[in-house]
Amino acid sequence: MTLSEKNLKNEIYDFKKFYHLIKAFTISTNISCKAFNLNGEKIASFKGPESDTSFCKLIQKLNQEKNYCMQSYIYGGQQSEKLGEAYIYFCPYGLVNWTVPVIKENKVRCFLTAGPVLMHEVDNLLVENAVKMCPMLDKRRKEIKSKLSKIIVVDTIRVKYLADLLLKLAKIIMAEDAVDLNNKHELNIFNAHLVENINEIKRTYTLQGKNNKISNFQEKEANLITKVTSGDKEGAKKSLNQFLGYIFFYNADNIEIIKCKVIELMIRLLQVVTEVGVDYNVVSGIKYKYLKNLINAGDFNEISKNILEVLDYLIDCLTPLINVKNRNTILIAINYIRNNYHKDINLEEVAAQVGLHPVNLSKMFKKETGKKYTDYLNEVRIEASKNLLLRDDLPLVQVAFSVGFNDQSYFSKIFKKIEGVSPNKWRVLQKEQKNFN
Amino acid sequence: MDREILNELTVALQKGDAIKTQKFVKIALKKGYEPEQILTEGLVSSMNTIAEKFKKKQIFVPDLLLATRAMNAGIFILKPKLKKQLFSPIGKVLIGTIEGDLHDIGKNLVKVFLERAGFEVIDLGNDVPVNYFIEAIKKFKPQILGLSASLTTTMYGMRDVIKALEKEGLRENLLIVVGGVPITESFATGIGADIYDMDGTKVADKAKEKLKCSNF
Ligand code: B12
Repeated sequence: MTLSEKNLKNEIYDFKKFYHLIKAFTISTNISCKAFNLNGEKIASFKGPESDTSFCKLIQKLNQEKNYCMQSYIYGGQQSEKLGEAYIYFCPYGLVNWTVPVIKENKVRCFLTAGPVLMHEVDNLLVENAVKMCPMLDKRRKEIKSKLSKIIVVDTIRVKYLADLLLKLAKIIMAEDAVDLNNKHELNIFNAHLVENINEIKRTYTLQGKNNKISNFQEKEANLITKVTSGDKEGAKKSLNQFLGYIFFYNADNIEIIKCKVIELMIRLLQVVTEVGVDYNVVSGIKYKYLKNLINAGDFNEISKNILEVLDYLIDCLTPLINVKNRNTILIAINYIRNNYHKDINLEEVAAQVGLHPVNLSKMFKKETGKKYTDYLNEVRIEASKNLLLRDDLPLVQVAFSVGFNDQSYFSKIFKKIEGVSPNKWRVLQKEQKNFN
Repeated sequence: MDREILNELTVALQKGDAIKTQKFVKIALKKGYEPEQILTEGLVSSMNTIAEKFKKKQIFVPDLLLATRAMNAGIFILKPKLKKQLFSPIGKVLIGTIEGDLHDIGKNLVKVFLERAGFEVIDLGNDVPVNYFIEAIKKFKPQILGLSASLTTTMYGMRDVIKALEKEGLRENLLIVVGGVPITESFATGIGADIYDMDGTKVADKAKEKLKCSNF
């Protein structure tokens, strides 16, 4: 067992669980799984099948100063973070690995990488590539061939699902941070469809020319509105995608025109949902935020991200409190948090109270309250800390501990984030105010 | 001529079988197929089918990886046959894929088209940062710069390259051609490129035309 538990403890929610996950993946799949930090250094692993690694060990020794492996771990990790999904890739020597990010409090802490495997039998191309990457192997082709032959061969479909599996496992440790990752993934899928749509238009455009541009455009907008008003989120996203495909295709030379058209669309949507009965105040709140975002957007990605968020939000408003049951569940959770905030409570514990999986609770919590579980817990704690701060005799560290933080500087940071001033400053300000009165 | 062998090639590539792909490319060459035909009707058309299947979720990223490997293996065999002996190239092209983008099949193809048409092509590869483009342009002094991007997240990297060129005073004597899946004619004009070509087949002619008209 190679791990630097100390370094990791602060980074990962629950180190034991984390390590167990690596072990479970390795043993059950017979494919090595390791954790790397952001510098590409191994921080935890469970000893996988010996055969897997003998080629890697040799090559790492010979190509020590080149660091190809490390670079590929880092690159793979960054890609997986950007995509919000598992990143599957060939390493520089032609072996297959996949990587998923582990995120805590919006920051990537480390990456989980599984592999190496092969997706085909060892062939000369693979051996020659290894020699090209590491010329010292020139006279050792037979040896590397035999080492490579020990690496397991997994077919493509299994690789896809093994990668999915690793991501699912990682999401368990990430708990609510997984929500952000899912959002990223969703945006990426949305953009992939957008590219396909643009491509489609590109092809038909050359065939049939410009003539049906306008009718198509209006049809796309009407389509979208019907989908929105009927609360069909998936359908609405599809229509939005086609709509954007059109605007992007015809106006890509002028991003300002694109922005105008998308803003027009947004206003139209806001109007439509208020007509259907969504409270105007609810809607106008987001109007200005997104108006600003859209005006300042620098490229397609930002535009589609923002309008997608608006769409999401509006449809959520429209699906009016349909689920009274969800409401109740959240109320129980909130109650539990309010009664236990001073203890070291975590999401799993709260989830157990309401009989939900932590990830599902976290999603539902965000949807129903508009806040993330930790943000809410922090708010409750900070609110409670204010009462204690009013008593000058209590040192900060004790205030922090009493409301459930186990670290004073973290408490101060969160306090400042929520209240805008540090706890000490807040204390002084309160006292001044009291004297003044 | 029987198309049997091209069909077999297509099947091998779609299965991601690199060795068979190479084998069928060799046989096709022996049978007298033009290397260009093997490339477009054998290799590229399979890649388009693969893209279609990927879109329909019939295959996934690992299949793309394997198919790309087979494609590259096939191109490796074709390459020496595709290259024309250039005694006096009609122009120098620098080509590369934008930073953050690993898709280089399309770019490689455009490179082949340009070389066949008599251009000398310097290839910077994929995932090329802006400053590499700038340095390379200073060093090689090409008349044409080709940029490729396949992702919505990298397409704006083209604009960044063009802006950087303007800033460095390198834009004026350079013909910029762009392409890639998400790139459209209007996007190309919008970012200030000179030539856009949907599938790279007309890029050489368009470039020759423009070079003739101007005094690059
Ligand atoms: C093969 C492929 C891959 C391979 C690339 C291998 C390689 N070495 O190139 C691999 C597996 C590595 C890959 C990875 C990814 N891919 Co990919 N990939 C494809 C796929 C299926 C085919 C691309 C291709 O080679 N086509 C064949 C060539 C010949 O066509 P072409 O590239 O369009 O090029 C032609 C023209 O565009 C033009 N052209 C191109 N460049 C230039 C330049 C100039 C100057 C000119 C004039 C013309 C020109 O001429 C070419 C010849 O006709 C496309 C789907 C598609 N519809 O294109 C997705 C696609 C591009 N990929 C996509 C995605 C999402 C990814 C990944 C994020 C997937 C992942 N989860 O890992 C990663 C990103 C990696 C990265 N950082 O770049 C999306 C992009 C969506 C988006 N939002 O932008 C697409 C559209 C698929 C989809 N619908 O989801 N991919």
